[in-house]
Amino acid sequence: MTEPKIEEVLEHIWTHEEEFGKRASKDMLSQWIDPQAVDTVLQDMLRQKFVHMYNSLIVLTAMGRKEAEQVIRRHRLAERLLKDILEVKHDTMDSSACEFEHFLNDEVTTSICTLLGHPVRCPHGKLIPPGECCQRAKKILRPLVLSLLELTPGEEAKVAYITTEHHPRLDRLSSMGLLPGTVIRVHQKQPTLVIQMGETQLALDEDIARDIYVRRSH
Amino acid sequence: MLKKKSRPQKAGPHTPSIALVGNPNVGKSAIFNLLTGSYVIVSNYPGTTVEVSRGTCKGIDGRVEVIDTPGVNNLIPQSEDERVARDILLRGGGATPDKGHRRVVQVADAKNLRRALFLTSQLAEMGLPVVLDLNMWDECLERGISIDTGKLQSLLGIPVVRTVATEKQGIGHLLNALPQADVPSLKVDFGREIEEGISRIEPLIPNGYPRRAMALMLLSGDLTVAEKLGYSKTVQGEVSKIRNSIQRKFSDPLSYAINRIRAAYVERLFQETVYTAPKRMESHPFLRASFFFFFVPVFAFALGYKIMDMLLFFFQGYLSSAPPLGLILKLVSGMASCILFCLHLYRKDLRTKRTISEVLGDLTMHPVAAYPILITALWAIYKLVGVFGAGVCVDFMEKKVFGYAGTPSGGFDLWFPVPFAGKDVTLFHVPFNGINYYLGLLGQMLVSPQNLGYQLFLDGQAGLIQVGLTYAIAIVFPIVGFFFLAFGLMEDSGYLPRLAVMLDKLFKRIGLTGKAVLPMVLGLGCGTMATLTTRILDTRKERIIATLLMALAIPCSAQLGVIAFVMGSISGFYFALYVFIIASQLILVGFVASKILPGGRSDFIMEVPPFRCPKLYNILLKTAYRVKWFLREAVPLFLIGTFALFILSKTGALKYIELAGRPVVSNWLGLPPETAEGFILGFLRRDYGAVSLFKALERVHGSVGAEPAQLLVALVVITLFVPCLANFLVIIKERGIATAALIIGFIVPYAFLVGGVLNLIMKTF
Ligand SMILES: Nc1nc2c(ncn2[C@@H]2O[C@H](COP(=O)(O)OP(=O)(O)OP(=O)(O)O)[C@@H](O)[C@H]2O)c(=O)[nH]1
Ligand SMILES: [Mg+2]
Ligand SMILES: [Zn+2]
Ligand SMILES: [Zn+2]
Ligand SMILES: [Zn+2]
Repeated sequence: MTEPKIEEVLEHIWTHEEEFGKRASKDMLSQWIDPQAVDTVLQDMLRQKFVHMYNSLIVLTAMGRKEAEQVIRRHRLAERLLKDILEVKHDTMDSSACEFEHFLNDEVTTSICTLLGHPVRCPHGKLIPPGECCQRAKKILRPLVLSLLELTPGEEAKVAYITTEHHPRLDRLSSMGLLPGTVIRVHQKQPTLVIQMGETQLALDEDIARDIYVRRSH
Repeated sequence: MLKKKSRPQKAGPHTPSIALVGNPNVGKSAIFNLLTGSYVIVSNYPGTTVEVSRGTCKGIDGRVEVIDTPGVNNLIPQSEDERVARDILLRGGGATPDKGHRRVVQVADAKNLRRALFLTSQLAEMGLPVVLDLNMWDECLERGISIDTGKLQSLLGIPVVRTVATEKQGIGHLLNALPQADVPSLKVDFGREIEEGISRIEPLIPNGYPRRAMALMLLSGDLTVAEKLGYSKTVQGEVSKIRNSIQRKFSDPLSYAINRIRAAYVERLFQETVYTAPKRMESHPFLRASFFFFFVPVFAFALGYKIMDMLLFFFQGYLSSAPPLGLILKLVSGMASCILFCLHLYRKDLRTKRTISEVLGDLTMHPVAAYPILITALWAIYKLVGVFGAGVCVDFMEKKVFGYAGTPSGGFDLWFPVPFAGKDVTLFHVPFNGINYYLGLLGQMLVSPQNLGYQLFLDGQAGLIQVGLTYAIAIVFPIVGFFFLAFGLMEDSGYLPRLAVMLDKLFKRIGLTGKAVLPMVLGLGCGTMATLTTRILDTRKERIIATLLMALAIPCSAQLGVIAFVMGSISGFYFALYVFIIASQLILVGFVASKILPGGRSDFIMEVPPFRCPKLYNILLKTAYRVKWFLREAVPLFLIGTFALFILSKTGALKYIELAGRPVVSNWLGLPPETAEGFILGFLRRDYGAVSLFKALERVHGSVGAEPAQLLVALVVITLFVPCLANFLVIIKERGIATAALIIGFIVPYAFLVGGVLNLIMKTF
């Protein structure tokens, strides 16, 4: 297995690219890890062909990118696990996830992913890189957790989580009673999505429905 | 039923007051009307009430003030009207309920108790004495939901009463329960972190405010509260520091976390008191059978038949032409629609025991069926308002009831048609020659018809009574009256929110959401009322766009009625063209405005209320209320306009105005100069403007329809042209003088631009 320090750096480089759409530069390393260790870690990464240098920019190789994605995937799956199943709600979620990501092996990761129904996004609303299990699940069986938008009219499901960066939206929905645990039924999808929850019928934008993830009840 | 608690009766120096609070569309206004005996608008869609209304009621312990508030889903407000309701509660209450003299009647939709209890727990935090009113008890029974009110009462520690506002049931119990109002004994435990935050913020809340509730609002990030408490920068900084430190411990936004904890708390209460039986009440078997096997097929057939008829009408020009081919087409389309509808309904709805109103509720927003239904509804409204109201009734009012000074109208017959026989039976002849005729006779006994005083009132072109008052009443009463009748039917059945569901996609193109359907359709009734209703829209941008479009392209019912009648009786093609031009301007301007104005679109989250059978009494009452409102607004302006016209024509200034207007009116729009008068009156009232355009064209050409192209240009311009004066004043009040000036500054030249371009196009073809 790769060394935790290297994994940590790969994770940082990857999220930096995801967030800003820019390559990380060498001087950023010292913000992420112990400045004394920067040189050895960089040497190690170069040796294992995870990255190569382009002037002062650090460029992920295909192998490095794959490795980073695995780390991110473990981190974000761990977040989901902590949040949805273990209901950890403190700032400990982030740091615990950061510990998880280094000792979960592939097999455990796959079973966590399956347990959670191959989730698409982490609690912060960021995409979880899909693993092989997710691709397989998509083909063979209907995913357990899916976006509200993917239900067909008449189907019933339970809200699993709502991922949106848009806080007023969360407030509006939750004060109308649309929360994790609420059972909803899709009434119609055209011309506008209408859902039924209890005795309330709600018309919703598709943009909002896309961020509501539900678990099919069988 | 109620546990009697002995509480010392306090006779405070203030008149006590009760505030009606609750989720949207639960019947607060209906209860308000029953308690106070006054009238505020009751309609079947969320967001009817946007302003606070007050009234008084004779309670069992003397007079009390009753306050109706806009509906809220959360007392930590997310929109303007929710803030209004919250503020009402903050003003009256206090951390110590004995000092405050305001009580709260929380009106709840009994079948949606979860959402009501969510609010109850917030009222408890505000320390307000509450009576919980489970309204819509009838619908609760219908759906097989039973609520253990005794248990609920003891869990909440407040009186719980059941009412059915539409049937006037339970109001006595509600009044009796008022003195027992108490602070609900609910306390949500928000967990260690949030509770710690609350206890750190509480000391910063000034006296007289409910500490826990305010602390929760601040933690939820409600900035308006900080303003309200008059916090200095340092205190605000302090609060946000506390907030941030708590937020860091949660992965969810704090307000969402608070809502979730509260909802979980409420869920327990709900599970303990509400039982849902799987059995639902069904419609009466006879009603069901006649609905499915008679009404649906017949209506569906008529639908198909009528839609084909309308297509033929627009393409052939005249209503009456029905050659064999036309008849066959109509029959085929009728059969097709009949089969489609029946197939759709018999496959599922007939077998599942759904009630008729549920089926109707679904059909009216069904992805396919909804559109023919909409077209038929519009056609029915056109027939009622445009043809019957604006044609038959206005004609009767103008010619027979008011008549003309100097010429007797000759009276009219009272008759009724004999069905199928094709002839009428005359009962008797009414020898009434018209009010103005008799006034004329009276006037001529005193002065000669050439006298200025006589002419001021009874002049045929600009007399205050002969023209101003006659038009105002003869037009407004039938057209506006029938329009509001139809509109009331749409409101009370729950059709309007379904229209919003249908049109949401289109409205998104013009920077609005489906929610804006409500003010826009109301704008067809009266732009002034509708401009007030734009408050239900979420963002400033949406409110401005809606106001602009309403002022520009939504004719008010009086104007549209007159136009629809005249155009419809001349040529279906030209009327269709008129509708098309106005609609395209609406979409075009809306589209451009949505791109130009800063700000984003808001979310479309709208509750769709159940389809209900409208109560005739409520519709009539509402119509009467609105017509009265309309008359009060229209009559003075009609009189002022007529007076101005009188002065202008007597002093000869009108000639100069027509001369001055010639370049625009004659050269650019290609209209006779006499029509300038119509545009001037249009500044005051658009409907009056339209009428005097007709009269001017009639005078010039002998008949209105002689030059349909001119008529079209004139009507397009007068429709797009400035909103009427009262509407303009409301725009200033709601949007501010600067925005209002911009709106007018855009509309007037734009209307003439479109008219001119249209004139050029019509000339070349
Ligand atoms: N079946 C039934 N319908 C009711 C009852 N009370 C009110 N309604 C209907 O519910 C609808 C809403 O009533 P409103 O009084 O306008 O409700 P509101 O709470 O004031 O609504 P907003 O002002 O929009 O928040 C109307 O169509 C009423 O006719 C009731 O007890 N039973
Ligand atoms: Mg109301
Ligand atoms: Zn990590
Ligand atoms: Zn995350
Ligand atoms: Zn997976």
